[in-house]
Amino acid sequence: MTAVVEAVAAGAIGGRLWLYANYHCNLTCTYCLTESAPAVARRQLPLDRLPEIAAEARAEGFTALGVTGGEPFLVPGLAGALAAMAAELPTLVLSNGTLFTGRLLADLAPLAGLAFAVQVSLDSADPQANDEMRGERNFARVVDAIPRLREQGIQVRIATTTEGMEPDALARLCELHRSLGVPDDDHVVRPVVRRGRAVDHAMGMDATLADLPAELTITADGAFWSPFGPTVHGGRLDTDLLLTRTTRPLSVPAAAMLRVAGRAGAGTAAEAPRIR
Amino acid sequence: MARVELLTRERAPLLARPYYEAGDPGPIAAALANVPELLEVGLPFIGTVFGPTGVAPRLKEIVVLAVSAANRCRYCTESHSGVARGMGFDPDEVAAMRGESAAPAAWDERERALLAFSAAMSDRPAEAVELLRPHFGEPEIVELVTLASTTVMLNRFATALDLPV
Repeated sequence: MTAVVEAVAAGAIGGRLWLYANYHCNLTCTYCLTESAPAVARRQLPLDRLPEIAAEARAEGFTALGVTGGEPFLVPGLAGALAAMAAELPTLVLSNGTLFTGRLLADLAPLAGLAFAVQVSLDSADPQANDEMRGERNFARVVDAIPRLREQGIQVRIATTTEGMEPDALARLCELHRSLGVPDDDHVVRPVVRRGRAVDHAMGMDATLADLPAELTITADGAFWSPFGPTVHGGRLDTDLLLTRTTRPLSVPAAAMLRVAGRAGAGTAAEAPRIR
Repeated sequence: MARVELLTRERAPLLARPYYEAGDPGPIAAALANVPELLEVGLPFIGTVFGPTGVAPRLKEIVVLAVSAANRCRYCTESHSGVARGMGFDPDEVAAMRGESAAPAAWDERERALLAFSAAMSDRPAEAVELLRPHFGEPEIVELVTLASTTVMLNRFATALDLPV
């Protein structure tokens, strides 16, 4: 049994390993943690590195993978890398859901039936309210994409990032995701975290180490404590949740993660972080 | 202004945070904090080499300041001139270690040997060791060479990154 397996079993760290595929995005959302936008530096993990990390993650004892960005599907060839990753561990990829047309949908076909899911962002059942935060026509494109993905045999989850949603608005959103074939278990609601662009808009909640999920996160800039760690503000990478610049071999940042988890006494199962 | 970001307490990475608990850790640590895994091993190493060991602190400070001056490291020379004064070295002694005057008449053979060793250490290291041999045992020589070598490394680090005094 590896140290990671023991730590995950004890609830000291989460079992999912995250990878920031890139930082650029076709959207410019108001609360984006990473100030992602079309013109920002891509800071992309090499595509062939993604399956390598997946294999290392499995050997270390992690139980699942997450891929985020930026918009990961802006990385050419990502679908192939995801298939290789899903062959190692169950893989979840976070997406803004606006790129799933023709060629990309076809590229995803080999992922049907694998331990793989796409988590699409949708913040409101009201198109105007959604698009105010996520950009023009975002709602229409996302609602169009979800059935297309499901028809391809891809599991779809929906993530809603909110500053506090009225019960009626949440109920309408849940009706919408159910109508799109996404069950309640596959709908995640989480608060805006005041990091990245959310700071400029005075949005969201401040989060400390203990509030955030202890899930090792690999980026082109190094390894971080949480997927909420490698944020960008004012064009500058936040380093307060940086673990190591070393990401290869994965055992180096994994060992650092375990040391910090031990030092912080963080994240027992009974003391779940506030933000998932 | 330094050539790299000197990380503040607010931006200190997780592994670096313990070094900020007592306040500003100084520019060497704040620069190293950009690569926390280097900080984590580098600072304890530096602390051990520069801290209390088998060679007397006064003798070690002669090496640190004289090597720094020989390497024209502004940050190390200025900061260790202050350290030396705080340790009780008088102005003539500090000037000698900074290469600005000859060794004070009151210095003994060992202190003079250390001054010559420090001057030779960067460009004639083999010869430098022979300058120590009449006055120090081998464990002390190893320690003094380690101290001088670490000082050279820090001289280059501080000068390359233009660390502020």
